[in-house]
Amino acid sequence: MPRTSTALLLAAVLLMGIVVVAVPQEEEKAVNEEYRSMIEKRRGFESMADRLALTKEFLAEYPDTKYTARLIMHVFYYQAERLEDTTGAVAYAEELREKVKTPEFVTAYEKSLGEIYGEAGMLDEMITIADKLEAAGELNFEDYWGIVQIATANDEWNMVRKYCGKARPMANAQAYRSDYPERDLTDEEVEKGGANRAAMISGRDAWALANLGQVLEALTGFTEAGKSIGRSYVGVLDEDIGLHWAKTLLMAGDYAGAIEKFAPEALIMRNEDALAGMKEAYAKKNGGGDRDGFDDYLQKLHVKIAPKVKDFALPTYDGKRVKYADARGEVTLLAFWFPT
Amino acid sequence: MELPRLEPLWQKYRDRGLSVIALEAARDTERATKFIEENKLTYHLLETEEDNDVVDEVFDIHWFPTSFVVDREGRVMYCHVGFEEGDEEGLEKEILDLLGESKRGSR
Repeated sequence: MPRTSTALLLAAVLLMGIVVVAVPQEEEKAVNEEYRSMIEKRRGFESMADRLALTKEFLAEYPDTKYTARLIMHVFYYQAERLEDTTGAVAYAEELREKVKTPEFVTAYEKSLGEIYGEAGMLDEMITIADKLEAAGELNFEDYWGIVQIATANDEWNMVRKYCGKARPMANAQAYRSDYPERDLTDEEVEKGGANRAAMISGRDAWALANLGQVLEALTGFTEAGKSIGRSYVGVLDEDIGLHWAKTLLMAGDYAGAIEKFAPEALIMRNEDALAGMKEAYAKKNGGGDRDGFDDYLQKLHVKIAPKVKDFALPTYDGKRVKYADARGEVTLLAFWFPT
Repeated sequence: MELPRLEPLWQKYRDRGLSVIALEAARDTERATKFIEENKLTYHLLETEEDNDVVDEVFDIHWFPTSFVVDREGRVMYCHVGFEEGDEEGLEKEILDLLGESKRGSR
């Protein structure tokens, strides 16, 4: 009899062990399911208020999960950016902070909260969080860059410079690789990623310098950035560097240089801001006159800078092959898309 | 959503020399074909291939949707990133400009 009960007891303990181990996994699975079904359901909602309510309903039920940091950004988007209730959104994010307990979720949540403060223009609060996370060694390049972006949007040029300085030691290939351990990056991609980071920092620091009146130092920085910054197919430099560079050239009185740098954004992207800058540079270059020549000049420059489409061939969904060259001679609309 | 808005543009200008080519970046054939059928799209719809990822490798595009309007000489004259209600008007204006250009040129 005692033997049996010992065996039973042992079995019970083992079973409990299994149950104890199994519960968090089961729970996590349930949360994952709930999350997915919430997102799916939310997609069907047209109204931002409905989307917001559904997201908050989920957060009320599951406040301490790996999804919380992401969902609070959704809340902020719906409530502050779409429904224009920034105060309410910030207050909600601060309340929710108290309910996040798991350490790894807390860190992620605080990063989101810092971003929310920044977006809401509460820079002191943002910096308080940033200082705390920085002391704990939790800030990476992307985080510093986020602060730089917020500072830029608020014309806080000394803050831009300070955080460019903090990001700079991470603006290299080595840091780039260690930030993305899960990605299977080639050496070439890592080199490019690191160089692009360095260029982002040089370019933005240069723009801050220009805004602080140090135009010549700024131009040196842009030249440095221009060597390795990524550029799109139509020649637009990443992170608005082309636009910032062009505006700085305009400040420096290099009108021909400014026109060249404004051109892709003004003519191919049809960016009004860039076009206005170009118009100003053109007028100054020609001593204020020659308004009539401007349109003609633009048209010629537009044709000159527009990149050619490289030929390609791809299959249709019913198995035919289409070559781009077959559409040559026609005006072509190329649409790049991602089904959702 | 952009693609359905391109169908009327194509129908309107195809006889004047407009060609529309959509390149799908995700290689999600199931979703893509469902979407194409639901919206009754009839212009060229192409799928990138794993060893021939034209969207990434040739055009280096990472924001979707992105549209290029290309002139008769194959030059990308207009690029538009993202799509909101009413953006098709900007596309139509650029297309009209380029269709008109060639008329002038052939005179």
